[in-house]
Amino acid sequence: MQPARRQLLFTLVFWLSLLAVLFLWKGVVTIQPGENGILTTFSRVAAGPLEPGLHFIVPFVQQVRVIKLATIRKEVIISEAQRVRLPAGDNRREGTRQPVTYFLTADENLVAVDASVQYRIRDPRDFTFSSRHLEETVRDLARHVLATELLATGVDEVLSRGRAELLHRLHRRLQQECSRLGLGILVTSFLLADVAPPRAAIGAFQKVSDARAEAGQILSQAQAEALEAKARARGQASGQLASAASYRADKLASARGQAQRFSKLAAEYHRAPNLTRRRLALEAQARTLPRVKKVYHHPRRMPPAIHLAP
Amino acid sequence: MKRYWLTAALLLVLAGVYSAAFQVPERHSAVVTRFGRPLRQVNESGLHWKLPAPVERATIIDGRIRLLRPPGLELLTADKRNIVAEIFIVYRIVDAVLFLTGAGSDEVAEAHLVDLSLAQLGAAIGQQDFSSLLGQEGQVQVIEQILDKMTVTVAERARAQMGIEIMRIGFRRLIFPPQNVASVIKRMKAERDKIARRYRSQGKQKAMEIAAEAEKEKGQILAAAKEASLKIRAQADAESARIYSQSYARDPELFRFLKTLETSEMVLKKKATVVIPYSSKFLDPLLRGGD
Repeated sequence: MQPARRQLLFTLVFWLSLLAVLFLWKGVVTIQPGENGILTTFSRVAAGPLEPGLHFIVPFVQQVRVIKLATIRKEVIISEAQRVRLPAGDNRREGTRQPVTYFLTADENLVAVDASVQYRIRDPRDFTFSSRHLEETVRDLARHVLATELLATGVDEVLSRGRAELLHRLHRRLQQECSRLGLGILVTSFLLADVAPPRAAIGAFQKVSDARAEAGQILSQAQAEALEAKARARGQASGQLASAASYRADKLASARGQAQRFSKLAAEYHRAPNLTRRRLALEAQARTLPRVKKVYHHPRRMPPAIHLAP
Repeated sequence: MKRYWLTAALLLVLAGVYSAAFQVPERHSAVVTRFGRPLRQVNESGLHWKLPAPVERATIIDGRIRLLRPPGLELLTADKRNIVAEIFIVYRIVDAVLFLTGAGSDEVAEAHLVDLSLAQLGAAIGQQDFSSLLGQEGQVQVIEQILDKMTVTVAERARAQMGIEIMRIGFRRLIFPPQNVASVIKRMKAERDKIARRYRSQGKQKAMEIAAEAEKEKGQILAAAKEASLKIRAQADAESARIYSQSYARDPELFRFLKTLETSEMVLKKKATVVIPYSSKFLDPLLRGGD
């Protein structure tokens, strides 16, 4: 072999092996579980995403963007309730001279809100390419949904009763907005960590809930007393009925007893009328005479006043 | 010498090829201009070709969704109430050629969008009474209608003038101006005080009603019991009288005798004085030994 040809061959092999190394180094992409890859060829996105596994690409011409699908992203929408709730002497409060950003409720009350949203990627391609400012867009959409929903909700519902329903509406509407713009995200939750009235009014709101609790207490006390009074009345009533019943039982028993005694006596009387009459009379005398004052009268001086016993 | 010429020519071709190719990224488009005059628009992403540099140039236009936040504005509603509105605009460029000719740059387009939308916003709010901005019972229709109407107008102009599609106009804020906040808070406090008082008085009233109701029921219960027990007693009396009379009716003679005996026994109380003649048969067995 001539030296010139040999050198050419050597050069060729050198460049080819360098290219091979480059391909192996730059051309192999691993997609982990829970990830997707977006493959672009001269900036054109391939139809389907790269699933987890090993993939070969052409360096420089093709590029892969790895997207973590499972990650839940969080976006803080607004955080003002915390500021409202800081105690008067707190330096953080002194540090922020800016006025609090309130939201307006349907009954023209002001509330400060701590709100955030959580979302996942629904469509990696839309998520990656749809928007120039995805996070800010999500945040502003959430703020819009929050502001308008609060405008349609009374302060009492926001602060207590209707919070769950409000959150449900916020979540649903934010998802609608994001889907309409094709942002490729799935809103997993809309969070209202805190809702506070303006600092100066917190005491007044507290007073209302105190009054409500107090009214509830008065009411339940009245109910308890009413129940007790009724129970006492019922007890008294059943006492009356019981005494009536026992009166009845007594009365009937004694009536039956006397009737029985009478019929026994009658039977005896029929066997020996005179004897029985006499016995009865004498028994009555024995019961009566000991307790009365007795005067014995001689027949020659006065006629007898009473004839006892026939 | 010949070899240098060859190398130079090769390099020139390479440069030509390089400048003839352009890439359009995903959701972007390109406008190819020949000597500055728009020739065609490329909406497909990927690798594309044009004539080399001095002749044709490609301008890449970002067609992704963008967000614009115009400054907040203090507005007056139809019923002369001040309100601060801060909006955001979500838009994208759909007609790249029109965008280039109509706006030319992002800054110009944004400035124009801000002017357009704030003017519409002022007009829209100015037609509404303040109270109509407040929704009721979870209904946000009114405010969305206002926004829709205003979006339609802004969108038409933006599309026609700059090739921009308005996708959403929304509120970042819709609130009383800062100088009114203090008085609103004062009013809120007064309202709360009223509500607290109402709760208290309602509680008391309800309690009194409950007590009165209980008292009434108590009276009813006791009256019913009294009636029932009187009835029972009366029945008992009647029944026992019946028992007596039934049994006495069988032997009226004995009954009369017994009653007489009983009555006379009752008449003779402790203080009574009984005169007993010596001749009384009552004393016979005792004094005269029987007969």
